[in-house]
Amino acid sequence: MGDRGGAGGPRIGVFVCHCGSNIGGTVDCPAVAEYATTLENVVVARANIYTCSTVGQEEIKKQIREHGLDRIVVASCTPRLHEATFKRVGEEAGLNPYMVHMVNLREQCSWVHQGDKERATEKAKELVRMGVARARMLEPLTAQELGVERRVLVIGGGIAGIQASLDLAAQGLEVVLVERLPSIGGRMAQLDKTFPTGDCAICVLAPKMVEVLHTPGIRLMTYSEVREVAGHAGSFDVRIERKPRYVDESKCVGCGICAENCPGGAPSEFDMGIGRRKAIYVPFPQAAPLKYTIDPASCIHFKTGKCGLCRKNCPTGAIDFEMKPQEVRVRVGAIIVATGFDPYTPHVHGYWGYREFANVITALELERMINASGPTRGEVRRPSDGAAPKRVAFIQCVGSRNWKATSNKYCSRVCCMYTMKLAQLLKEHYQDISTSVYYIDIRAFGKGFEEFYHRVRSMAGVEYIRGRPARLTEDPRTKNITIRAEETLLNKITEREFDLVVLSIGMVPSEGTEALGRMLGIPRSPDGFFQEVHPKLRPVDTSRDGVFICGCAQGPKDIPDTVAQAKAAASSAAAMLARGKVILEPTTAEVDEALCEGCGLCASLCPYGAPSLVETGSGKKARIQKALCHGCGTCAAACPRLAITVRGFSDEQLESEMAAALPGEGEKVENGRGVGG
Amino acid sequence: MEDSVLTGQEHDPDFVSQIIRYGGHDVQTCLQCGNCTGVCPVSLKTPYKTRNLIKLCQYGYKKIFFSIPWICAGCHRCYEHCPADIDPAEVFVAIRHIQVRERGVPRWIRDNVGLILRNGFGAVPSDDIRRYRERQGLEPLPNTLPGYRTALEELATIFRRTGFDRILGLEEKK
Repeated sequence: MGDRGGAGGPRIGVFVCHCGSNIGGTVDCPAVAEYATTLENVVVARANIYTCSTVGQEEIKKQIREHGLDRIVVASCTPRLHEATFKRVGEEAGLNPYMVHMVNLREQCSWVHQGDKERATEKAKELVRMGVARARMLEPLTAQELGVERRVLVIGGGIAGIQASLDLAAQGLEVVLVERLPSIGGRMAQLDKTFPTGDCAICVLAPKMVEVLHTPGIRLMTYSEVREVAGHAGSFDVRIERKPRYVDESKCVGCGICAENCPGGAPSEFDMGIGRRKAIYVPFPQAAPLKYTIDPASCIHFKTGKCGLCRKNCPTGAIDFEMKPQEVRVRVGAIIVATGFDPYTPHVHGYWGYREFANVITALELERMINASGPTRGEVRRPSDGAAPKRVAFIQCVGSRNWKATSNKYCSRVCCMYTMKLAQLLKEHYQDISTSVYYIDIRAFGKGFEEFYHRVRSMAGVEYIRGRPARLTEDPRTKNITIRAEETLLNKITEREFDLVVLSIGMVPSEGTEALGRMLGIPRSPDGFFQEVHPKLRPVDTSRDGVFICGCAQGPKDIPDTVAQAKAAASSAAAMLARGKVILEPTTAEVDEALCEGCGLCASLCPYGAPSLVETGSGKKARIQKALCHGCGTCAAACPRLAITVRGFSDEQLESEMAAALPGEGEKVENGRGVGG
Repeated sequence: MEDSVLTGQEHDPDFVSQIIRYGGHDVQTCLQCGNCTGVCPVSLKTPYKTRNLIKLCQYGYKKIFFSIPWICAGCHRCYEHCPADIDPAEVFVAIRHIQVRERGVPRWIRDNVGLILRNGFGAVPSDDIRRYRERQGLEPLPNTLPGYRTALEELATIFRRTGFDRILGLEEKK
């Protein structure tokens, strides 16, 4: 291998990776390396078994130093995996990291051409030839560093948001916790007990809620919504609207005298509409903060201008009917989305007589009834006549595992388990009750879950029927429900009468998920929940740097998984902020203002909102906010005046690569005449 | 259903893809939830359970079907309720196609169509009804299709032109 660098020209090293047999099994790597040495400006080429191994990395460094290379081409796997590795290797050997180019011989060659070694090797040579052509045109780039705000916005005050906030605060970071409802607590606060341990939900949750109130680093904004998010990782500008409670939080002491005297009211949202609340209310006794809120829709004063009993009776003078929405602006370095889920509403698609037959209820309604502080003080009652049910049926997979276009395909992951818990609770409350569970499959995969299933199945009066009910009919006189279903394990159709039927409803993305996704610029998966970057390795990251997701906002999950994800999201956000800076990739778009005519096409096409039009002395010009630019190239491709260049992906660089791909031009390269320049 | 022990001999690995080829849904995604059985008017009155038949498809138990698929009334209620979005009724239509291709048309169907060609009806009034009609002074057969010989001829033409009579094996008889 002679020194073909030539005086003053680029000095390129090519490293062809076998990747064990991943590439080497299909592509003749030594032949590709040998071929590379014939290309102009290639000073040295090597084939390695594992280029990413320590040995492989040292080999690259050695060649860079020995041959005075000023750029390298690594022909191996996808840059998604190892670009960072090889950039670092180059940097450690004294190269600018952007003088490293990767050619994908694995995903784009060996894996897709298994069984055709000869042609795969030819293609590998061509890919390397293109890579070398590109490498000739590389230019050193410098990453930019930006400072960060050591403050995190947490959206959603359920168990996920609470846990994330507490973990962040424990690390000394400031937290702004925004909750849409008057109290934090979320869905977990509505539950009676939790599976599989039987812990009282509010007993384990309330201390954390109290801790949020008393942690100085956490600024809690309840009854508030995020309206606008601008900026970028490390520095987001957030606009939050504080909805008017019509009660001055600083004065309200939570004594409840207002509610005692309030003549207005509405069905309680917290109790799933079973009980009622007053027009001035706290959603539940352990609410945090314990501050009253007036719901104008059910308040007599707001409807008629009269009443005002609460104002008359409030001992601290906290009532303020004139309160207006307030706008709060905060700057944060990272955002954690913990917006949770909504229960599936079975009546939308006419599921099994819900809202049609009085004695068909949802599991969350039963959960509220069986809760000691619920609307029935812990007594389970039939909605039709208030009688205690003796025969209860549960129907599983309601709104889950359904491939009809109008329903949800996914498994909601908690319904099997909460049904076991409710069956056990019913049995504890009422000795003479019998429970029948209609199921398709039982999923009890978590720690201690199968053991719990075993225990529940062993209880007298609990039976499992393997079949999805076909038809529910109501006895017009008794209001009992008859379920027709095949007991599939018996190959028989059964018709059984029950006093109460409970639909084990699944989860759907919480209301506003879509809008919030748009506001934050984070994608959702086909199920409607927020999409993580990688299901295994980056479970709480989103495609927008600095924005993390956790809990049921990402998909249905139980409390243990939610808490684990909240901790992961807090840790990821804290890790980012702990560095004290964010690194901006220099491979961003640039506008040549002399060419730009200010048409605004770039601004309308950019998925990240990076370009904007600014007024300059010579008319409107596009400017790119580098921190927002992902270097995708959409603007550069669309610009009719060719005024936009993406650094690291310039027209010259891409064209030289393409030229090397063309057979005629390729021969010229082989003959050593080159196409570059 | 037939043997108490299945040995795999009865398993036809091609059955599922054959069903799809003849216009049926992919039965492999069936959850075996039994919802179809519960809404099926035939399952209510016979030992045949829709879910069980789909399971037999999944298993590739082809030969068992050569007497069964004709019991489906084709009401498609199973499809309306199926959470896996499978249409068992379509599956049974596909199996009928397969059966006709491989084993010919069952004798009782051929006989039935023969009746239609002769009388315009698949079912012929019983002797009781015939006597009753006679007492009332009516024709031995209701005066619908049989009253219009040209209509019967047209029907025969349609059968001939579409090749239906050949499929049924009726043409040799004439």
